[in-house]
Amino acid sequence: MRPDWGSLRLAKLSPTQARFRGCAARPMGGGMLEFSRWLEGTSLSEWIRVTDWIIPFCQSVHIAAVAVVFGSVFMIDLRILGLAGRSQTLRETNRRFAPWFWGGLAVLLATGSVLVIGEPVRSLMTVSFRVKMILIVVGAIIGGAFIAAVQRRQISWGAAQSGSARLIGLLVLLLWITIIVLGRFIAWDPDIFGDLSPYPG
Amino acid sequence: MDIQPMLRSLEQTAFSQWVTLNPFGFRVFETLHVIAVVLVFGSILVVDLRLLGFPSTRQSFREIAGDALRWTWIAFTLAVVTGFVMFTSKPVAYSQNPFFLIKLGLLALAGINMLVFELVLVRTVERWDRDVPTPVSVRLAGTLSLLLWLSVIFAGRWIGFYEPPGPTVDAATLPDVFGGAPF
Repeated sequence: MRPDWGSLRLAKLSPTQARFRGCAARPMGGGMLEFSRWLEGTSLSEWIRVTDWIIPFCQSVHIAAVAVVFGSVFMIDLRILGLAGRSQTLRETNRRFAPWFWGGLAVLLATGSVLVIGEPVRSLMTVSFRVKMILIVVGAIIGGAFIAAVQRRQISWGAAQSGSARLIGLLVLLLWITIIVLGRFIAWDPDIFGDLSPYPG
Repeated sequence: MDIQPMLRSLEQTAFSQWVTLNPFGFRVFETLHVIAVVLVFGSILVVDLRLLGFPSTRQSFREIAGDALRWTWIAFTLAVVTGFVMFTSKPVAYSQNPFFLIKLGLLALAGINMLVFELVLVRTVERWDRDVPTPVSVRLAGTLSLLLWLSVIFAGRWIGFYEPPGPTVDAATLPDVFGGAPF
């Protein structure tokens, strides 16, 4: 079933739709809410919600996968900071941990998608989720560029130990911690972001 | 020993009331708990995988374990402290939540596994520290650790989804302490 966006907009608004009309003034508010409501109405979404183990199961796997991604970033950053794996070159450390970064991200994407399909309004209609997605893209690009540069030996060991490399390492850690925090904030978005939150109620 | 009276008096403390009633009391500690859990599992996974000889035995086990377990302990301490604060918010309810009790049991098993490893298996570390496949007993300890900590995450996540048996309470009639969304 595909949504008929045109007729949705032109149709006479039900009281519920009218109540959400104010969201259209916010960026992505209106269209995203309509999309979320449509997604929520699909049988797949309903099946995820009524099968009561799916959401806690995916959330658990999601947390474990966050740990895998964060753990790999953490170990590589500790190597840059000289706090771990001192017998190893940066390239060796990278080779040990980088595959887990991508594997973990793939699992995060899969379980996260199930969670979004199951509860689209609760997730898509939040500042936390939207900022989190942007930060994940930023984190993945930085991670990918770094891993590729180390494998191609474009980052020498001396350069990786420089003050700026250490600073970037710390910022990347902070980025992933922010992503984790935002993930938790999705559940409390209206209380945390107040009027900024597009959550309809 | 009946600990229920003790739990009830804990629930009456000013701190417990603050954690429950302040809109951000519980949430701050829950968020810190998630960060701590992520770091516990992320760092212990590094050690467990090395115990399994995965992806290679080229790096010394003692070096990897020394580097990573330091953070496991820091994060575990944070997880225990934040976990205890969350527990004080509703001690009676948590003590009757099967998933909470399962989680405590799994933590105890993970602790026993660690003790066996540290007191018995680690004595032979000279023989398998690097460049050789790890012994079966060591791999078993690594596998158990991995599965137990993964189960701890699952049980922990399920604590919040458990609904005690009894008449269903209409959420709309309850005071809106947590802003509607309980999870």
